[in-house]
Formats: sequence, C-alpha cells, structure tokens
Amino acid sequence: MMRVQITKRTANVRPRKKSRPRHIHVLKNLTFYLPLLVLTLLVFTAVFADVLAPHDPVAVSMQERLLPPAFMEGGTKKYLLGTDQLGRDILSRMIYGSRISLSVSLAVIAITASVGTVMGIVAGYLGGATEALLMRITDISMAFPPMLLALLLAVVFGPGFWTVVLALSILGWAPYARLIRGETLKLRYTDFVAQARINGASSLRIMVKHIFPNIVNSLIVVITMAVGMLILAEAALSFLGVGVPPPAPSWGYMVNEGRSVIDRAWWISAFPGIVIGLVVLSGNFLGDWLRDKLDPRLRQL
Amino acid sequence: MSRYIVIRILQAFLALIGITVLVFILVRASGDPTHLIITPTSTPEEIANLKKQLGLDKSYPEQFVVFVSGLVRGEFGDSIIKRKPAAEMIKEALPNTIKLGLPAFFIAMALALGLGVLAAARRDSIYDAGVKLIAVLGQALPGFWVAIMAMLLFSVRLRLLPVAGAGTLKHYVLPVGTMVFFLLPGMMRLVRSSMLDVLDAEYIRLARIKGLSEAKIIWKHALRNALIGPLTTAGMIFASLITGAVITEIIFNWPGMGRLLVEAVTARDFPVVQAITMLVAAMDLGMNIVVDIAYAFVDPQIRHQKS
Amino acid sequence: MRKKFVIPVVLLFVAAFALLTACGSKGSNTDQPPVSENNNTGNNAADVEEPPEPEGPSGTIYIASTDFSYESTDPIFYESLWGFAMYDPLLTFDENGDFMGMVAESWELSDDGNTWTFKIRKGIKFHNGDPLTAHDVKFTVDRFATEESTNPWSQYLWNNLNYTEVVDDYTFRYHTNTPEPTLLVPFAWTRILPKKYFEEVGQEEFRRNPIGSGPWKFVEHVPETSFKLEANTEHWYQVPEFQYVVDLQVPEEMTRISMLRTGEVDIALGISTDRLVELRDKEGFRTVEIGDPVIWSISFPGTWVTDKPTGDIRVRQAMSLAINRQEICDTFYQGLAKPGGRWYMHPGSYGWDPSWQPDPYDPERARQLLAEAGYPDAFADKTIIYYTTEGPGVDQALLLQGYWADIGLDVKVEIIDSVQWGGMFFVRNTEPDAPNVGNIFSWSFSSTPNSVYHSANMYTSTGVHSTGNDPVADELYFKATTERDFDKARQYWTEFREYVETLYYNVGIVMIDPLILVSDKLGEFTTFKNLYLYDALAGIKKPKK
Repeated sequence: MMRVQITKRTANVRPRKKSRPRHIHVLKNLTFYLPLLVLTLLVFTAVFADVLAPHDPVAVSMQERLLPPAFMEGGTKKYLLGTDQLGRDILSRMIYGSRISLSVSLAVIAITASVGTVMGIVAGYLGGATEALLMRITDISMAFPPMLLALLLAVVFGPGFWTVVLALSILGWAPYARLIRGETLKLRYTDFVAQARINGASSLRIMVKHIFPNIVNSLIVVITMAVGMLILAEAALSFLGVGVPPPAPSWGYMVNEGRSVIDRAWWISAFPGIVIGLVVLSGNFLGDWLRDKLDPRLRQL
Repeated sequence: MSRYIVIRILQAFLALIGITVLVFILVRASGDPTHLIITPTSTPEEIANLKKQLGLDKSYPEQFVVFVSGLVRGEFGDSIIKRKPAAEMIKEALPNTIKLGLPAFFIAMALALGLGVLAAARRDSIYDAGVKLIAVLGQALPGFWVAIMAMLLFSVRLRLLPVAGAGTLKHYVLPVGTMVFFLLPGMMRLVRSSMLDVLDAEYIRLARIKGLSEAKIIWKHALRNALIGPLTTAGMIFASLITGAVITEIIFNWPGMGRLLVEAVTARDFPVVQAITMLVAAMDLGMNIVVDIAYAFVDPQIRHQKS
Repeated sequence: MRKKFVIPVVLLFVAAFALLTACGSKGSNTDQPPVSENNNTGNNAADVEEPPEPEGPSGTIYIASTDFSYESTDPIFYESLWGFAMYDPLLTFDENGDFMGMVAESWELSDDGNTWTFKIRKGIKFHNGDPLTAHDVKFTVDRFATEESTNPWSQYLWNNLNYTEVVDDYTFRYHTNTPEPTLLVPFAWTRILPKKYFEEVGQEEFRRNPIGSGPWKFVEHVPETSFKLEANTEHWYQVPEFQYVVDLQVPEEMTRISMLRTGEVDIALGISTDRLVELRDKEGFRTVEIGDPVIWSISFPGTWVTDKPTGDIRVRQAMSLAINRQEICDTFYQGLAKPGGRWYMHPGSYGWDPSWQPDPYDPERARQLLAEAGYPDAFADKTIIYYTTEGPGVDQALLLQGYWADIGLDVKVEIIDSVQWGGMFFVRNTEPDAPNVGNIFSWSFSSTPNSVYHSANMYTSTGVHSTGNDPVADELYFKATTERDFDKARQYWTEFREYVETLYYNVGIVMIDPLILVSDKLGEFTTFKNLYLYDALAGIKKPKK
C-alpha cells in the first residue's frame, strides 16, 4: 500500500528556475496555507472531540435512523449531517472518528519512520555484512503481500486498534529504510562526514550527529504525505473487514459502513469520504511545499 | 558480474525460505479452520473426524514436513474448503487477474507517460498543475467508494455498461477503468519527476544548444533515459497488482487472485494462503533481482561495489 | 513546436484504447449474461413484446448469490445447495413441516424400532436415462454414512448403522443398533446418487460432471463465477417452466442490487432489510418468502460454573425482559420480523405450541429482578461480554447493549474473528475460567422444520455450545427422541422444549422473514418454498400475462 508512494518520490529532487510567474507564487502559498489549515483543524478536532461533538457518537436511536442532513428535506437541526442505520449522529461520529483515524496514522508513522530510519542509516553507513542483512530483511518485507499480512495479523490478533497499527507498520518501515539508506549512501562520502571520521568521531556519533540531521528534511516530507495515505489504508482494511472495529468510529469504517446504502443514504459514507480526501490532499500539497522549501539541493541554488 | 547474479539469486532464495516459514506459522497461529465449517448439528466426534479428513490432526512439525515435501514436488496441497488442489484454484484465478491487470497496467503506463512528460516539459504551467491535480485526486478517496460510485453512475443510472461479470468488451471498461484510476497517479508522478531530472542533465542542455527541436529532445533523448526509473518500479507495481486488485475484484465481481486470497485467509484455508503467498513473493523477489541486475549493468559503481 | 509535442500524447491514448479492445475480446469465454440492449429490466419487462411461447421450458433465471462456499454438488462434503436442485432426496419436508416421500414412496419402522423399510418410487430416471432403484439408494446411503463424509448429517447415520440391504429393486432396508425414530431427519437430507454412473466414471469425474435425478441437470460450473443448470424435462414430479438457471457468485451487496436493477439478474440474495424494503416499495421489485424464518437468539454458556452475573437466572431473565422486541421488529427490521422464536424453532416447527410467546418488554420487572439478584451494585467487577463477529451481528449487538444499558446493566460488545468465535461457540468448554463461560453469544440462522438434533447441542449436557447441564432436560430429551409413537413423541418434544425454555440457556429475540428479491421476469413460486431456493427453483412459474 505504502511502498509505491515513497519509492517514487525519492527521485523527485530537482533544481528549479529562479524566477517564476506571479500567479504560480500565489498558488504556491495557497497550497501551503490551506493544507496547513486543514491539518491544524484535524488535530484540533481530534484533541477536543469530546467538547466539540454535539451527541454521543455511539448512542443508538432506533426511532431516528437514516435521517438525511439538516439542509435536505426530512433532515433536522438536531443532526446536522444526518444519522446512520442505527440512528447515530454522523457529525459526532466524524468528530470522534478524527481522533481514531489520526491516532492510527500517527502511531503507524512513529513506528515505521523510526524503525525505517534506524535501519536505513545503519545499513547505509556501516555497509558490508550489516547492510546485506538489513537489506535482505527489507527485501522480505517488501516481497510479502502487504494485504495478506494485514489480513493474517487481523485474524491472529483479532480486530482492534493496535492490530491495525501493527498491520500497517510491520511492512511499512521497509520503504523508509530504502529511502534513508539511499540518502545515507550519498552522505557517507561527503567531506563533512570524512572530516568527522578523521577527527575520531565514533560511528554512532557520526550517524546521530552528522547523518541524521541531513536526512531529516526528506523524512519530514515523506511523513507529511503519509498521514493521509495511512488514513486511506485504514479505510481499505475496513473494506476487507479488518479495520478498527466499532463502536469507536474511524473514518474508514464509516465510509465502509455506508457502502451498501450509498444510493439511498449517501451522507453516511460521503461526509467521512470527503474529509479523508481533504486530509490526503492537504498532506500531499504540504509535503510538496515542504520539499520545495527544505530540500538541500534547492537551497544551494 | 555473474558472481553477483548468483549471490543475488541465492539471497532471494533465502528470503523465500524465510517467507515460507513465516507464512506457515502465521496461518496456523490464526486459528482452526474447522471452527468455520462446523454447524449446529455437529458433534465433537464429527469435528474430530473432520480434522482427520483434512490432515489437521497432525502436529505442527508433521504438518510442516508435509508442506515442505509437497513444495519440493511442486504441490501446495488441497484447499480445505473447496477440496481441490490449491494450485488448480490459482490456475483458475490467475488468468482473470491478468486479463484485468495487464490492460489496466499498460493503459495506466501509457497515460502516465503522456501526462507525466507533458507536465515535466511544461513545468509550472497550467498543464503541470492539471496533472498534479489528477495525481492527488486519484489518491485522495477510498478506492472502494470510487468504484461503487462509478458502478452506480455508468451502470445503474446511465445504463451504459454492465454491472459485473466478464464476456464482452463492455464488461472490461469499469474494472479496468477503476484500476487505471488507482494506478495512474503514482506512475504519473514517477514519470514526471524522473523526466525533470533528465531534462536538467548536461547532455540535454547540449542538445538544446545544438538547436534540436524540443519535441525531438523530449521524445528521443530525454524520455529514453527518464524511463529507466519508472520502468523498474513498474515491474514491482505489476507484481503487487496480483493481489492488490482485490477491491476492484470484489466490487465488479471478478474472480481473481485478490478475492481468492481474502476468501482463503478468512476461511483459514492454509494450503491456498501458502500457495498464493509463495507465488506472489517469488514474483516480487524475481522482479527485484531483474531490477538490481539491470541497475548493475547500467551503473558500474554498484557493479564494482558488490563484487 | 508545441503541436508536434502533443501528437505523441494522443497516439499513446489511441494505443491504450486499442490495447483495451484487444484484451477485451480475447477474454470473452465465460458464461455471463450479455448486456441486453432491449429493456429486460425488472421494472418494465412487461412492456416488451415477447415472441410466442415455444413448447417446453424456455428462458433463463439468473441468480446473484453471495458466496458459493464449498462449490461442489457432492453431498459427502457438506450441505450442497446446487445438489438440492440436481438430486432427489429420500424424503423431504412439506409446507407444514411434515415428512413427505420423494424417492421413498413410503417408509415404515419395525416394531423393535431397529429396521427402516423404504419403498422406492418406480419410474424415476437419472439424467442419463438409467432408472433409479434400491441399489442406488443403498450405494448412496452407504457412501453417505461413512467417516469419509464430512456432511454434518452423516455422523447421525453412521453412529447408529448396523447394516443396509436391498430387499428387491424397489425396497431398501436400513438396520440400526438401537431404536432412533428421529433418524427421519438425516434421511430427509440424504440425496440419491446414480450408482452405475458413479462407478463407471469414478469419483473425480463424477464431481466434474455430476448426474442426478432431480428437476435440474448439470450444464457448466466455472469455479468462483457461475453454475449453470438445465431443466430436466423428464422429471417425475415437476418439470421447470424455465429452461436454464445460472447462479452467479456476487460477494458485494451493492453489486447484487445494481445487477437486479439493470436486469442482469432476476433473483438477488443476501439483501439487507433496509434495501429490501426500499427496492420493494419504491422500485417495484417483488419479495418472495423462501425457507424458514431466520431466528436471532442469544446463548449463555456455562451458567452453572460462572461467577459472572449471567450465572444467576434472574439476570438472564432480566436481560430478556429488557429487550423491546416489537420495537426491534418495527424499526430495525422495518416490519419484516416478528418477536420471539426459539432455538431452531418457529411457529410450524415440529412440536411448536401456538401458545408460546416471547418474554414481554418489561424494564420495570427487569430492574426489579436485577435488584433481587443483588445487582447492579456487584456486577461492575465482572464484565459480561457479548461476542460477535464483523457484519450485521455488530448492529444487533449494539442494539441489545442499548436496551441493557437502560436497565442499568453494562454489557461489553467485543468483535472477534469468526474462527475464534466458532472455537468458543462450537467447542464444549465448561471450565469456570474458559473465555466463553459467563458471556453471551448470539446466533442468527434459518430455523428448521425439525430441531431434534440442533437441540441436543443447546440443551443437553453433552452439547457443544456449553450451555446445557440439567439432568431433567437430558431425561426429557431422551424420552422425546426415543418415543416411537409419532404423536406421543411430538407431545414429549413440546414438553421438553417448554421445560428448557425456563432454564434461560438460550433466549429468542426475533424471527426475521426469509425474503429474497425477485424481478418481474419471474412469476409465482409454487413448490418447496419452505425449503431452500434451490429446492424451490423448479416450481417458479412464468409471469402471468
């Protein structure tokens, strides 16, 4: 799921013309502020979900099931975005869902990025047998069908939040390892690393003090883009019945829940679908913007 | 060089063994398949009989010996649910996956080339923005949602295309179309960025100075070199399609490998899960070797380093 | 310069389309309904002018099934649905739930209760023209009643089989070790295979090209895709009006609905209540009742060993009284369900007493019972878990959880994998700390005309569901299942089920109407609607003009 996403961005490092048309400039800034706003709102909503949500997200109300959003005929102000098959408030579920979806995303990123970075730097810097071993492990991870492993883990451990995190993490670190190793290889022969080595710095010190700070930018770019993609990945798992289980609603689960009534009660899946889309787009645009800003090769120009 | 190739193949083989053991342990840790087969009229004796019939009464080490000795003979065992060879089930499902995956892959590749090159050549133009927009939009929505919406629009509302099944050309439009929609953004980004890299290279500048036409520069000189990166990744993307098309297969009712895998895991159909994993992993590792060797030929530095 | 640059892009598009065309036509070999240009949609088929009816069966019934599961017609694996259309059973259940002779014209049990004599109907022919005789019956029963068979009904035959014999071409005898009058139930699930053909071609070939004597003949099976049958115009009981049946495996509900709307299928199975009501009321599709109602019940394993609240019968009773069954029927099931039902029993089942009613909705009494039992003060430290699997069971669980919360009882809903779930519900384990003990398991499944074998697992002390442990219940069960006088046996059965209901091992919630969605290309369903769709297919008439 994730692997294609990351590998293909590694090559996207390029110099740029110095002068740009003015409208592009405005567009560039817009593609920074809007995504930033969306992501900030997401974090805000996730943190203050219990304050913001007008209803209990899991409270069942059989007399008020499948109500349309307030702006449609038959909708009520009580449920702004309508209700689902069990009469639960879509808006409140989405607000709480932001918490679940964001937590999955961040937990997976924390695990995959740190494991991948350590493996990548160690492999890239030490080389030799260590590199060969680490890269073979990476090979296995990338050769294992990701969907299969997610399904297997889900059935071994039973559906749950941490099962989903594990399923998305267990192979998800490999692309990071590949990317970071590549970056490390480039840095390994640079003058400042050579200088540090001459000065007698230990390998560990060089990796932590000299190499890591120089790859942090690439990492940030990739991580920014991963936030949304992981929310989508969780949605795909939900479709296969192995997402974060109810009653806690994740956005992916909500979209999935509404899939068989999409033409009858579109609001159940459409609203969470739209916010997922917004977050993915924001992550992408912000990542692009950050790449332009942070990439060392760009700064040199 | 040949030593490098041999080492690479040996390493891939080791990885395959690792995967074999891993999948064997995982599927068995996932539970007893007979728990899904038993019914409210089953008795404990019947369940014991069922296990005996399915070879599940043996210990795990014994089962592993059976599994590995089968592999050596090229057999994957019989499906627990369908009671026929797992290899036969793959033989039925794989052509369906390829029928869908191959056209989708090539159409996406062709479109990615066209649009990616267009975006790179007209960098920061309105074309570039448009291509970027397609790329992000294609990745922004849950895949199954897009597929269902396409089905409702084109089949139910407009009555232009059949909902599901195979047979006529029309049956291919929706599933292939959705798969192209999923594949295109990634490929397009890849083409665009590697094209941008190449366009900034010295020899392209030289060609410009020599006064070659822009079209000739792009299509003849730049594209050829820009293609290496995307093509090697494309191989792996294709391998991932084998099981990655599961959403399309479920919604458009296409009995391919993805659906087979999901059904097999849900039912703990050990032999089928094992067979599919081995197949996909072997394909992926194979692709990896081909790519690495290709790189080694292209880049003397790697060749030197490894051997 | 710019234009030149665009040309290759266009060329690539063209190439892509050409490729799609090439691959598309190459793959046209599967048997699927073509997209019809004429209007054969469910709504307006009547507008289309049809050619004059030809002699004999004509037309095709397309079915969208959810899952082919075992995909074999061979009955020795599991219950085979297609087999129900292809083979004739020894006997079957009629619309009243009574036994009805099919291949066996009549049967009788000897006075010592150990010899079953079946008179085989004359004139039944297999699809290849061979006559069906007692030899085929013996061959089938012998094969069905071995350990090789994993069909759930087989064990009841081989458990108690002494020997079988062919008396003459049309008389078959089955000798048991001990009297077991209820064996008629597994006999009703025994479908007769052709001995001669089977032995000629061998098991493998038989499975590939099966032959039976039923109203439908095998045509083609594309694994995971479709199964095609053709009308048997020689059938002794019923010749179908339609010529073909094509069963398609369509796992996604939205896809099944869409195919019904576009006329790609005529019958859609596995449609949720919401969609069923909507398609019926707003889009003019018909619903047809096939089979017995689906009974949703909850079970309480290990009530006598647990220290959880469910160990107290008053708590279980309170849980039943807290459920507003009528509201569930009216809202969640939109009127397509009725309150009540018992473990594998519904009005019409063998031994059902019309006076049986579900517990009323009485939250006051429920709270009172909880108080008497010493709750709600003490239950917080021992959580009751309601185990369910992903799917419609989740909504059901949340629904009940709400009712129980209203009387002050916290029940935790846990969604687990179906294999783990099966391991807890279908394997007897009554250790006090076993994961199933003290918790709740729900089960929604079609009821059955005769529940004697299902009930053993729920109510006797050897049952796999770990619910039963009551000597009186065991005794009553034995009495009801060994009585040879049919009317007395039925009476005893009623008494047994009346008694076990008071133990609150299992509580029925609602009975859901077994509805399927049908386009108006199909007319009335006339026979065996009480069994499975595959039994009923032969009786589907053409719509009246």
